Amino acid sequence: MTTLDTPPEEAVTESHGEYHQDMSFQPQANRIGLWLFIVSETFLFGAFLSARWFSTGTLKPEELNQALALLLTIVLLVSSISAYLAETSIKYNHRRNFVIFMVITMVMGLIFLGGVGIEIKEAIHAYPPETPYGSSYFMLIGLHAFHVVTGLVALAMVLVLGLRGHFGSSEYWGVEGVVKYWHFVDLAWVIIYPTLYLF
Amino acid sequence: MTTDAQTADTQTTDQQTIDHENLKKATRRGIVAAVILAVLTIIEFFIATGVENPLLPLMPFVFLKGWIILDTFMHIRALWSDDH
Repeated sequence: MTTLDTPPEEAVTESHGEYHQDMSFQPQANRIGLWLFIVSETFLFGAFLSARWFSTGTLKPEELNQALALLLTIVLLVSSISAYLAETSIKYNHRRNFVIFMVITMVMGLIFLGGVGIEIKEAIHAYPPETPYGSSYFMLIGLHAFHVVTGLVALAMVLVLGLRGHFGSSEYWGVEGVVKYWHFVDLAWVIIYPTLYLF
Repeated sequence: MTTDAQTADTQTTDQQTIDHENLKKATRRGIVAAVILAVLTIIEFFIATGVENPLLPLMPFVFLKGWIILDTFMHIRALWSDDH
């Protein structure tokens, strides 16, 4: 609030300074914000999972590549543990391990995307998108793969920042946020995998 | 005052100390969770391929795996505690 004694410009600058100081780093607020985003994403995936149940029930084509799907699940699981280890490493200041595990996570993510590419190539002939199962399958696989791609971009950004000396035990929110998002991508697959391949 | 063991257990890089003890604990916790997830996934696969209608038998596996990821990897409990 400006008074007659304080020139308006100074008052604004002062209040801005306080505002930035207060809002510069609020990890708990950041966490809640990210969780709300994850909840909204859960609704998005939930809608397409529901569509699969609604359109085809538990029916699934015989041509599904079960071995490849299991392999991809394991690959994503390995990426999740390496992401966890990357976060843990930076939390306890082990920068070298942070870089190693981030790279492993990204390589696993790329392998996963390659596997999805093979799956799509096979699926396009066996159960095309025009079929009820095919439409749910391609929508869910596509949506999930898009999240993997965005996760990889975010991981790459955090890795570059880490290599430039950012993050440490006192401030690692960037890593934590991105890794949490990556785990969400894994969590989504934990539900998508049985929905499309096992049930 | 630090003992020799403590000195050996810490290492300084970029003016920051690596907390080896807590790092080991957290790593162990993560690896145990990952092994459990892998075992559950394989059991899930065999149930799905061996049982005629696997929907109900697989449900507990999905929920259990989901909870392990939420709790161990995503630290959901930190939202209502001061873990971080």
